[in-house]
Amino acid sequence: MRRAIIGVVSAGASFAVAVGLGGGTGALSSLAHDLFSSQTPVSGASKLAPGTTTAPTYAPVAPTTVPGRTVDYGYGELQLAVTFEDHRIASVTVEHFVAADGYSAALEADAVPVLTRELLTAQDLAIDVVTGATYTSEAYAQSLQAVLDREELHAS
Amino acid sequence: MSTQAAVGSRGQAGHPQRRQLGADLLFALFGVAIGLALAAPVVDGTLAEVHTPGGSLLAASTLTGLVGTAAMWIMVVLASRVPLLDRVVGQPAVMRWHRLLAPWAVGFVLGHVVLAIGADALAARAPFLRAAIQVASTSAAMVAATVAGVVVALVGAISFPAVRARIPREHWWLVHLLLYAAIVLAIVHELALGPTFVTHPAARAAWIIAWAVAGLSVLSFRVVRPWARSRRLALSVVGVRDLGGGRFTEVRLSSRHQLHWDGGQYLLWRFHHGLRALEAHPFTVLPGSSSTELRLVARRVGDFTSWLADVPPGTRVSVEGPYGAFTLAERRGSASLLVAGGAGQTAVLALLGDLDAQSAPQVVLRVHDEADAVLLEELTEAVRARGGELRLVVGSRREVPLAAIFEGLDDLGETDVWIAGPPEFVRVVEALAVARGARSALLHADPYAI
Repeated sequence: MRRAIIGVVSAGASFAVAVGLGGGTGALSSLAHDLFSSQTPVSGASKLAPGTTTAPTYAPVAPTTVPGRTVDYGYGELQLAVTFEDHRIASVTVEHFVAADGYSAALEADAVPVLTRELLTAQDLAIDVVTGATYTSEAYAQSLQAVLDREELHAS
Repeated sequence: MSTQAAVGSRGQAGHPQRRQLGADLLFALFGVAIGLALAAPVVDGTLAEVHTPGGSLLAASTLTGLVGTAAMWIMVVLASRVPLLDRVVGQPAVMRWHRLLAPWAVGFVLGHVVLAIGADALAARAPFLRAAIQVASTSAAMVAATVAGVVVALVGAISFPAVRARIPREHWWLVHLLLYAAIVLAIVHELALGPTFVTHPAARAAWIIAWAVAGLSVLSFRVVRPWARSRRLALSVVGVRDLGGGRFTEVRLSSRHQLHWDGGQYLLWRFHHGLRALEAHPFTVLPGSSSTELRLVARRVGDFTSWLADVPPGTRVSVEGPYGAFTLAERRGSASLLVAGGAGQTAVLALLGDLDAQSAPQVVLRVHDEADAVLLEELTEAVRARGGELRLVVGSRREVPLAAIFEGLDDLGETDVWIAGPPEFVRVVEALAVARGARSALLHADPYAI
């Protein structure tokens, strides 16, 4: 009995310490908010890069495709390529993708079109993380970051 | 009989209070394992993704998977025969916790499987069965996880009491060993795909270290140590004889070296004779006629103990142990009362061997009829040599209530009470002892299951 209490108390204490130190209190309180309030949850979207909102005018006029970096993000490898046309980002294609599991593959298939749509609208990486696909979204941004930075340098 | 000659060193047991503290710390560690498993999905970002298709199921499956494998880690540590746990809690109680935890571990792991497939079905908008095939086949880590899941489900299925009662104990035990392989596969898939581990090297390192320690404990305490000890002892059967008109069997064994043990401890004995080598059975260690001879006395109750009566001399025997906390190391009080029920007389005789000449122990042997008191002569001699008193209580429970055991005894306040016998006997005698003023810290029980 005494040892059962010791076990339960240390489970509670280690849970509290781990959540506190790991910065999980926010996640817990938003979960509580979801469970106990009738309001529809606000999507916890965060911006991937601060970036500007003005459309860049630096990219080449003729269609040019520039491959991005291959990013290993734990659940897979993602490499994208950007096609610039008439000073704008015209399209994004997936050059290379390997998923570690079926769930990640499904997420990638869902998230990449959404991210690309956002990117084409914003014309820079100031786009929202796709909720549920944080790792994929981050990999998406990382793969393209260098390409967009390089084009910006090129133009200036 | 030279009981003292073969009695082992008691020093290795250590100070009782310090050992209690050690076991408390181990339980705190078990609590921490569960606490961290619960905290991981909160910290690693899984919980922040509950609004996506399948996200809430994925969070629940991460949680159940972590808690399930944390429970399995505790079960492995409990089954590893860490000497500390055996000396403080005693192997029967340790294994009771192991069994108590088992349905939870299996339940959480199987729940994890169903939830993970559900999450994939929602994310990929596929029916459950197609999602299951997709989940099982997408990567090497998931193939490993699928094999592990099938093994867990299989062992869970054969462990239902109704099913298990139809399977020989040894067969069940061999199948349940597959879980060690399943656990390795499960951990591989966790480290490869678990959101807790993929992007958090510290969590990954902690989990690997925890499992390495558990695995090495099993390997050293259950495999290497018993193997090395058995090899050194080179035990073999010298002779067998019937006691009590064939109700008990006494097996004498010779050993090349002296075995050290505390009176009241047991060994898991394995007789290398055909398929019997697959079974190991617990019996109290009794000293033989010299320091390199051992004995065991078994009540003839089943298939194995009947076979034991005809075990050929020269049969090689290997052992695991000695195990058990039913020893004088647990003594706290100033006087001793030893109560034996039926086959419990072996443990009480062994314990008596460790008591010194001035200890004046009270010993009560309770048997159904006199032919069952097969060690009466040896008990009488051992009690007389220590200035104590032996009382024989004969009769079934209907004829003589167990309360008769305590007739004529003083208040038990400062007396250590040692009780060995069938579980039901031990439970009732413990309750009677408490009613007679015995302190629960001074009660020492050795219930054996047949």
